[in-house]
Amino acid sequence: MIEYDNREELLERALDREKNSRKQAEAILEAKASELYNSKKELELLFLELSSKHDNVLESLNDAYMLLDLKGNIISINTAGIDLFDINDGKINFNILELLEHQDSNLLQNRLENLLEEGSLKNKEIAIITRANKRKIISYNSSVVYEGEIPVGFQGIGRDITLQKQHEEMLLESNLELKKINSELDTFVYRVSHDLRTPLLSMLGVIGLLLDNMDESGFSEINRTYIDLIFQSANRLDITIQEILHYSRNSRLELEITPIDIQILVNNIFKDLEYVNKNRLKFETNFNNIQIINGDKNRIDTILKNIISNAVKYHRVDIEDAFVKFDITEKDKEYTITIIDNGAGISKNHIDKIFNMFYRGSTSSVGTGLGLFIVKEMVNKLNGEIEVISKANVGSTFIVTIPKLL
Amino acid sequence: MKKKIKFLLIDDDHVFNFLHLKYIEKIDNEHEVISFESPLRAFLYLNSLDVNSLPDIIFLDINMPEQDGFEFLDQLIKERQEIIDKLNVFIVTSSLNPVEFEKSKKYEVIKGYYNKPINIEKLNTTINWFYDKK
Repeated sequence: MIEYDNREELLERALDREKNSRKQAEAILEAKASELYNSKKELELLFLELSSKHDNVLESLNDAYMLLDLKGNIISINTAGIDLFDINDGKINFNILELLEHQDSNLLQNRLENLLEEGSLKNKEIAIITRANKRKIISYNSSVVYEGEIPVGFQGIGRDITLQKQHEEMLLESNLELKKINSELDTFVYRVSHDLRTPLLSMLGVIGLLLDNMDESGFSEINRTYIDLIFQSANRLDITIQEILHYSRNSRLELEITPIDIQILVNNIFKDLEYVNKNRLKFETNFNNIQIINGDKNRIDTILKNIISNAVKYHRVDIEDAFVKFDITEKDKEYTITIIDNGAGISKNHIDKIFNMFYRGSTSSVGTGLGLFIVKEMVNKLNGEIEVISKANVGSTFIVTIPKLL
Repeated sequence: MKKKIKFLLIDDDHVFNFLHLKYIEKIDNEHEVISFESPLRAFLYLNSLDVNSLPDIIFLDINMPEQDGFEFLDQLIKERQEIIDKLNVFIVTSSLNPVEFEKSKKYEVIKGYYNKPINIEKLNTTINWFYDKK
């Protein structure tokens, strides 16, 4: 019996153990299930929170947001969108194509088809007629909404750019107007300079004839001096007119960049000056194998002409070896042009003022006071720099640095 | 002996026509010089000439009342196409407008562009150019 009792006892104990472990398993299962349930709840909450946040984001947007079905019917739209389309009656279930003028409606239809193929469109513009019958210009981005891989609708973000467009148009208009005024002014300046120069040049021509005839008929020396003085004054007036023209052109006209053969340009300047120079000065050029540079030909020509002709004008007559040297070198990003002479030089009390408008170093100086001022203005226009080192009775060095252009 | 040159001067400013005449005479007073202050009358004159008596060298101003130098040439090209190849036009102007200089490059009939006034050097260059061309 003992054996029997023992067996029963053993069975009972085994049963108890099984019960306990099942209970334990159930408890674990229950705990797991509630854990799962909680995390699902959390996910749902998170999702809700997220989507409400999303709505808030859409609502807080200053830009209009809307969701359309594939035919263009509005499914949802934010407040900014309602404002954009002037939807005053709250009825938002209409087709987006209704807001467009006929030709634009075709355009949008095409764009929707295009959108389906492309997946998204960016920075498009379209004109709409709002519910309140206002014409607005909208800039928008849009994309296709997919469920899995199947397109189910469109979404878009748009903003009213009507004012901006109007401003742009006004700006374009006034820009055109300005260009017109500028070109009229240009023509005017040329006309005036032409009409002032014409009689002056005929005077110069007649004086030239007179001087030629004098050589033949042997006029008195004093008369020759008088005629020379008239010639000099007329010539100076002509130079002033030309310089005013240069100045006015420089301040108004944009840079005109072309390839320039700097060697030809500089050699021509020296050639033109040979007439005034009469071989008194030695002209030297050192191009360091630089030939074609990109730049504004008229301005570079005027800059170099002014500096070089100054060197000729103010050379020292009391020395034998008077010279003007032109030198150009290049670095990565710039050209450096150096013009050296051993002429009259500029004394310390003048050197700060030589680039000022109408500044003339002395009453005896033959210039107009515009030459170096124009040089400085032009160098500025070219984004370059100019520097001068000079000593009275020793000579001057002008260093012009201009950036390389492509 | 070199052929004498026939010049036609067209400038509304008679002082320039006179000056240019004097300079031409200085070089050789056997050259023939005809001048007009009106481009319209110059056109009528050219129109009246037969092909063998056309001027050899024409000095033409640009800015003139009635018709500017380019309009004058346009009318010639339009109405006297057959003589245009036989003409040698030199622009003589006191304008410093690069637009006009660029425009003159488009005319085949324009062989040179001078700033006023013409001096002996420019005149000699022009005459030598003409003889070399022959």
